[in-house]
Amino acid sequence: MEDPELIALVRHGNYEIFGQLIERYQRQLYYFVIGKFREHAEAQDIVQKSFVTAYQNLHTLADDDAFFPWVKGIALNHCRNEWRRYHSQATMKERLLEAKRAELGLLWLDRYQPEDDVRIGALSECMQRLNPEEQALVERRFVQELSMEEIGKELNKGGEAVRLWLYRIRVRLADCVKRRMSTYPESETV
Amino acid sequence: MSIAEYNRFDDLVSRYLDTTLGADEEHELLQYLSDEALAVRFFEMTKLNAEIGGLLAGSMPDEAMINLVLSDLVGNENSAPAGSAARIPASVRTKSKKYTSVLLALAAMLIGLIAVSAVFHFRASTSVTGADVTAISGDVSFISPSGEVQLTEGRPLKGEGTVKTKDSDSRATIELKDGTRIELMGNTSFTVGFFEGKRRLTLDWGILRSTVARQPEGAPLVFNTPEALMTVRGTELAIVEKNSTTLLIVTKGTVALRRSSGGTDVLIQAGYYGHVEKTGKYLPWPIARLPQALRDLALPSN
Repeated sequence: MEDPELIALVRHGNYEIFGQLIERYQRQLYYFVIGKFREHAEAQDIVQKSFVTAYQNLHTLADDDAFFPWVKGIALNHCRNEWRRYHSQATMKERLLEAKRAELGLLWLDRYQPEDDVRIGALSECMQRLNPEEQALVERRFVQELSMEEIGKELNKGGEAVRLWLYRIRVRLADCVKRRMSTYPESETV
Repeated sequence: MSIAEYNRFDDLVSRYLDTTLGADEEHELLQYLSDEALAVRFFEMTKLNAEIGGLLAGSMPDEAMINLVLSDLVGNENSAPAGSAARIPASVRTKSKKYTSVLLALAAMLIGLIAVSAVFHFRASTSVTGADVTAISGDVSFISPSGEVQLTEGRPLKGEGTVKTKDSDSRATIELKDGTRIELMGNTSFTVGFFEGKRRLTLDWGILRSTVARQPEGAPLVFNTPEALMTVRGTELAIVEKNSTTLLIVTKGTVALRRSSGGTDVLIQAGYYGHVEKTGKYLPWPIARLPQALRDLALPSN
């Protein structure tokens, strides 16, 4: 069934059909949201909130063919709200660096361009180009969430050496993403 | 800006990303961010960091997200789209109650964990005939049909029986003949028994972590709890058994999770956890969604 049919069924009381829309778009929405707020773990929460908001405001959706772009807009609003909340909390606690980060996050969202969405696809490709040792390091840090010292112990390196190595990988990934984004066709999305 | 200053800025950003930035350094980094170009670079690096983490963690399983959203909607019955006939059916409310009870159970586990400040580690195998106690601290006993004895390091474990760490500070490490190591944390009860000629390893309550040696083809290691069966295929994992809920956290490899009373296997891969109650669904969830205290359980103890 196409989106408009599913949406019509939801509007006519077939509550569980909304699950099909979630199933259809939640992964795409997750990859859209990551990087737009502070930590990746919070992306799942924003996805969840976005679908809840979408359900509650389904009557305001003007074009049933544009469900996903509409939900993406809702997700962006949630990201803005989260950054604002984070900014006020950080300011209250005098954590000025975090407050600055929140300001930068909000600024980025204001300047957000749809073509920024190719970033995740580009990053995914760049990460696949890391050598096996580098991939293992990234996994230890990001998946297993080991500290620098714990990784160092496993690799017979000092914690500082691991930190610098990891940062060099990040810088290379950032450069790689920029290069790839500049070569993507404009219409290509993640 | 000089190259030295630029390198210093990069060093501070690196420390920020890896949460090793001191208070003075935080202030120093903030000063650098008054330069717009550096502020953009700082934000890009933090953004990239979140994106890498997000890509590696992956999205939640569809069914889990559907349950979460529906649970939220059930929490507010006025949430049906305005002007629509959509109401939340009773079956969904029941689902939500189940989910809430899982959350409550997890919260209770977390409180228990904080209260005892205990972490239990455990490793085991079905393919070996014996086990040695390689490390003991505190009060640990072995209760078998022939009575209760205090466990000491180097003592072999023979026959059926239950190892008990009797308070929150006690620990026991057991090593099986195939090299599998089992670490039991405080206030834990772990029973080694035999069923249909095979070793049966049961976490009665408490917490364990395990690194399991590769098992022979067709003879995987199976951990039991009152609620669940966990079939291990050479992996690192942690199990928490508390308040009639089993929480399985997998850090390496894959574990097949199943309810003790039957049902289908759900594969829990590295970076995911699953929890099983007497009823309700059991699904893989990203470890990142666990409260920090529980996430800590999944990390190696040394």
